[in-house]
Amino acid sequence: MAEPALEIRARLALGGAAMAVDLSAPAGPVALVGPNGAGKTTLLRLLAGGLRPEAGRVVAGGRVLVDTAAGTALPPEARGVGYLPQHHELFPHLTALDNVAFGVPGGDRSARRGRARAWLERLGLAHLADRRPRRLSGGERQKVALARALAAEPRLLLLDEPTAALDVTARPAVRALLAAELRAPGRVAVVVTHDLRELLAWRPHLVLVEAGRVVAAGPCAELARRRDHPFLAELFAPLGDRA
Amino acid sequence: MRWAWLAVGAALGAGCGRAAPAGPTVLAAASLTDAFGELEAAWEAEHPGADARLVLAGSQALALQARQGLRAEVFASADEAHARALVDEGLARDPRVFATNALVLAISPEADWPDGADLRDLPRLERIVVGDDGVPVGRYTAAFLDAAAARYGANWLAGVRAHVVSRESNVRLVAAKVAMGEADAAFVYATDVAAFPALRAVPLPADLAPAARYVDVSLVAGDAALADDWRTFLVSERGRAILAEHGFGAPP
Amino acid sequence: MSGRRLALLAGLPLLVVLVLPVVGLVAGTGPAELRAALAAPDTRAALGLSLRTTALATALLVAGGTPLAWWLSRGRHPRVVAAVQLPVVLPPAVMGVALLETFGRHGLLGAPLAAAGLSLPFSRAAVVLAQLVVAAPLYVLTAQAAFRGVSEDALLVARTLGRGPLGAWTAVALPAALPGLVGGAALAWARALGEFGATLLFAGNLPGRTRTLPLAIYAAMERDLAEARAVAVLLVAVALALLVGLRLLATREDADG
Repeated sequence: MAEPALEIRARLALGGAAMAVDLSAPAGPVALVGPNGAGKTTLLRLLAGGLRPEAGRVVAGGRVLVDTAAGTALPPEARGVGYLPQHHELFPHLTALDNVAFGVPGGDRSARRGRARAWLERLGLAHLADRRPRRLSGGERQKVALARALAAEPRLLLLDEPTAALDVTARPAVRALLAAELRAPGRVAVVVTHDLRELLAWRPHLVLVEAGRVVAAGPCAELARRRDHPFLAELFAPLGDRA
Repeated sequence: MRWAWLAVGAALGAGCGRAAPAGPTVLAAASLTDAFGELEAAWEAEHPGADARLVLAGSQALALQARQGLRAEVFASADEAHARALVDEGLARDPRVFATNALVLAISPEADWPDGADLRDLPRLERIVVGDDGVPVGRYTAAFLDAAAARYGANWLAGVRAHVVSRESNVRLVAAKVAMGEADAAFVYATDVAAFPALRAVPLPADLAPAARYVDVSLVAGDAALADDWRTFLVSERGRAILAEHGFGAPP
Repeated sequence: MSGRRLALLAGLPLLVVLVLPVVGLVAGTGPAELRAALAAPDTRAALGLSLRTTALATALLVAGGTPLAWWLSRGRHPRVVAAVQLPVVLPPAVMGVALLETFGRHGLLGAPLAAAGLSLPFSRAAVVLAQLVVAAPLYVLTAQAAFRGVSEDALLVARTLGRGPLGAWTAVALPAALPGLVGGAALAWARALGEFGATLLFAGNLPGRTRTLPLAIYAAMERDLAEARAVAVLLVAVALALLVGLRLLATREDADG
């Protein structure tokens, strides 16, 4: 087996709760599933650099992000991350366009805005470019935040339920767009989702997190067959006996 | 807007209700605070069950309150002008000088003021506090300084003025500044020095600083018998003794 | 009757009690009195002094209060919050005595200050300090509330998009909280303008040096009520202009888009 694209071995202390994570995944998208409060969002923050582990090592795409034994920790701005948090977190004082342009790398201001506009167009938001987040719907905000994460051309793409706020008719286009983006060359992508269609479309390496631990992991198709955990059984129940 | 005041008055009247044997309400200048506090207690001791009330503030503020309808029997002013103004307006009667109070220079315990130093040395002090020209103590002080300039010279006056760091709006604030040691010297009344034993008093030449005259009047709106009762008590033997204890002089 | 109307009706007496005294104050003052007050050198000096000292106090407050408010907003610090709120409950005169006990000649810091050649009481610095202390809670607590709206995830996003810690703060936290900060600064500025008790005790009352507008009103009350009222109307006008002006500025920033 080739070198894992993503490897997390870390102990985290979060207030009272503790997490001990041992996770390794091959190249290709990684999907985190699990009940609420299991620690999926915490893992995304750990990867983004918003949290430091008490002890451990985090490697993504061959780069050591954190290694407490060696005393190294890349700050968030040096990790090349595109992060879509659960609550979108658009910058309220900036227009949709400027939100997306915020993280576009390189070039002068007009070039960055040009690329940001292209991203808005790809997501069907060009007509909302000059609006502040306050005047966008929940689904529009989520798409703008997604555009902002993608426009950064990240080496590490972290998406927390990227289609949760979209209505069902808006999902297929985003699903298709992400199918390509999650597998962009040189990119490690970790996405939290419970949408079965997305899992089937993206065919990720599936990681089931429960109470701060990885309790099952493997190719999506394999876990869909095994269903050897109540959460997996429920998640894949709509497939019936097909998988 | 008068209805509003009537309503407030009615509410207050209902709340207080002059039940037990009544006592006078006395509007007294701020410099009378301690002496009148004791006088109030002494008066009440002689009138069991009765309750005298003191309203203490600057003389100008008290005159204003009397004009605006604050019901009281007596107004005791730290200068003649405010009391006479009320008489002229027909709101008060029978003005009378009931005490005097000498203007003195109060020196802070920490100030660099050797024994034997006198007024000539005043400009050497760093911080001097006086009363504002709008209040009696300030007017007395200004009059004294002008008169003293003729004796000690214009340089002396300029030196004193250059060290004035504050012009307070009542004499208690003046005294507090020097008593706390934040100011080195202040012009206050003899009574204020009596109230702060740590202060040293430098008497001023009587020809340059005539004593302040405290004038009381009976207010027309108040109860005449109560007013007379209080004013008689004020100049009784007991009343005079209390005033003297607090540094007031007898009327001329 | 709709709920909203009912709420207004229930709140109306309070509104009337708040507004009516100001109306009474202004109604009792003619334009001639106002002109006379404005022309008086004492009033002008007091107005100029008030504007300069409160501007400085507000600037210092924003400079020191913004980081403090940010820190407060990132965690739970009930004891520090209580300490910041203290000037709201203390009578300003008590605050003035407290300042003297701290910075006065015989105060806690009196000796070291004197050794450094600094003397605060009766100085303009004392005026500014008194204003700063009484106005501080209004700014810090408003700013803290505004900063609470900035989530850790928003900052993390800014960090991942290439900003350092300070860069993320200035690019995201500060602008997002700006309307709240401006509102808080306006409130604090207006409070500083009205500051009286602490100034009276700590800074004294010298025309042209430490006599601010409220102290000028107090001094005028001993002389001439009409003059005092006219100066008070002036104070109300300046404070209102500040409150309304800065609020407009804050909402204009936020209006489009």
